[in-house]
Amino acid sequence: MMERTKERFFMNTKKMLAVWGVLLGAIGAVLAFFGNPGNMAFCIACFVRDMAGAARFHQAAIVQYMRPEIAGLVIGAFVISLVSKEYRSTGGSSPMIRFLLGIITMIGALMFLGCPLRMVLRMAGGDLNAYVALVGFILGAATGSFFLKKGFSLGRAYDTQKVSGCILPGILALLFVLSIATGIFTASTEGPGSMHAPVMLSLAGGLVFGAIAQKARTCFAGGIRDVILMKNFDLLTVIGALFVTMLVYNLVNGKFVLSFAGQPVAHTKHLWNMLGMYAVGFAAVLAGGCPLRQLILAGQGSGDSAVYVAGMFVGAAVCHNFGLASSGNGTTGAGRIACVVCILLLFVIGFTCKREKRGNGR
Amino acid sequence: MKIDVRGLSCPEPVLMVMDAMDEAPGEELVILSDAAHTRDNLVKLAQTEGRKVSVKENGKNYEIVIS
Repeated sequence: MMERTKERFFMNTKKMLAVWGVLLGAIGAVLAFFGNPGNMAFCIACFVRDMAGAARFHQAAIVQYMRPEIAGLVIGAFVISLVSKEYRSTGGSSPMIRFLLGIITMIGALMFLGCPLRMVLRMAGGDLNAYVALVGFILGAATGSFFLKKGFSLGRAYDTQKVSGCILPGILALLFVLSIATGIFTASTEGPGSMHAPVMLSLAGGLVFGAIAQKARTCFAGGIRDVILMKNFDLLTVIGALFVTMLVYNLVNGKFVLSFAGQPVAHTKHLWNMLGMYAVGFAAVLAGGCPLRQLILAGQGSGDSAVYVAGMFVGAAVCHNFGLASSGNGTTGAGRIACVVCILLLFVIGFTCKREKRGNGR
Repeated sequence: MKIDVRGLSCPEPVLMVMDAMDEAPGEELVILSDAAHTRDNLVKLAQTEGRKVSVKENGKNYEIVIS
C-alpha cells in the first residue's frame, strides 16, 4: 500500500510542483499574449465579476464578458478528479458562512482589483501596489491561521447525492455554450471586459489550468498558511514558479514596468490595497482555500465550495450595483466602509466557529 | 489513538494530528480521511516528523497509520 502512496506522491515532489507552476505561468503568458487585459491574464475575482456582468447581474459596462476560462477551470478540475477518482460529491460544512465568505472575498478583491492569483501576476508585471497588497494578504492569512490554531472550524462536510457535485460544472458548461451559440449575454465594447484571448484558447487555457491546479493542489492562501503553521514550502513552490514564469514573459515582451502609478486596472491607495487583500487572505484561510482553490474544489464535487463561488458571483454584483468596487481612479467611500465591515465580520466568524472535540466522530 | 478527520477543510486535519502528536508523543495514530489531499498532507507531515506511515484504502476513505 505504501508503494502506491509513494507512486502517487511522486507526482508532487518539489521539482514536480515547480514544473506545474511553470506550466500555470505559461498558460497565463499565452492568455496575456493573445489578448487578456494587462496583468490580468487570469484572475478569478475579475473573471467571475465579468461573468456576472455578462449575465446582467450588474450594469458596469466595461466589465461584462462571459469568461470561458472560469468554465474551463472548473470543468478541467472536474474531469481530472473523475479520472483520478478524487471526485466526491460533498456538502454541509456551514454553507451559508461559506456563502458570506464568498461575498466578503469579492468585496475585498474588488477593493484591491484582483484575487491572489492576479496579485501575483501584477507583482510579476512590476506593479508595486500588488506588493503592498501582498503584505495585507499575508497578514490576513496569518490572522486566519491564528484562529485555526485556536480551534476555528466550519464543521464537517458529508457525502451528498452524487449529482450535486456536477451542478456547478454543468451550469458553467451551459453558460459557455450559450455564450458562443446565442447572443443572450452582453459583452463590453471597451475596458477590461472587451479585452480577451480567442474563445477556444481561453477555454483550453482554463481546462488545462484547472487540471494542473487540481493535481498540484495550487492555493495562494494555503501556500502562506502552510509556511506559518507547518513550515512547509510545497504549495509556495508552485506559486513561486508561476511568478517567475510570468516575470520572464513580461521582461521579454517589454511589459515589465516597475511603478506604483499608471499600472493597468490598478489604483495606488496603499491602505486600501492592503486592507482589501487582508480581507481576502483572512476569508480564504477560514474557508480552507483561496478563490482559485474554491473553484477547483467545487469542480471535484464540493458543494460547500460551489456555494462560496455563488457568494463570489453575488458579491461581484453587489460591488458594482452599490458602488463598492474600486477602479483605476481609486476606491469609493461605500467600498471602504464595506471593506471594514467585512473585516469585522471575519473576526466575528473567527471567534464564534469552534472545532468539535477530537474523536467525537460523525 | 483514532482520529476521524473526514469532511474537515484544509488544514484542520493536519492541525488535529499535530496536536495529537504533541499530546501523545510516539503513540500510534490511526487517521480516517476521505480526501486525497488530506491523505497526502498527513503522509508529508509524518515524513517531516520522521515517523513511519502507511496508507490503506478503506472503501471510499483512506486509513493513514502513523507509527
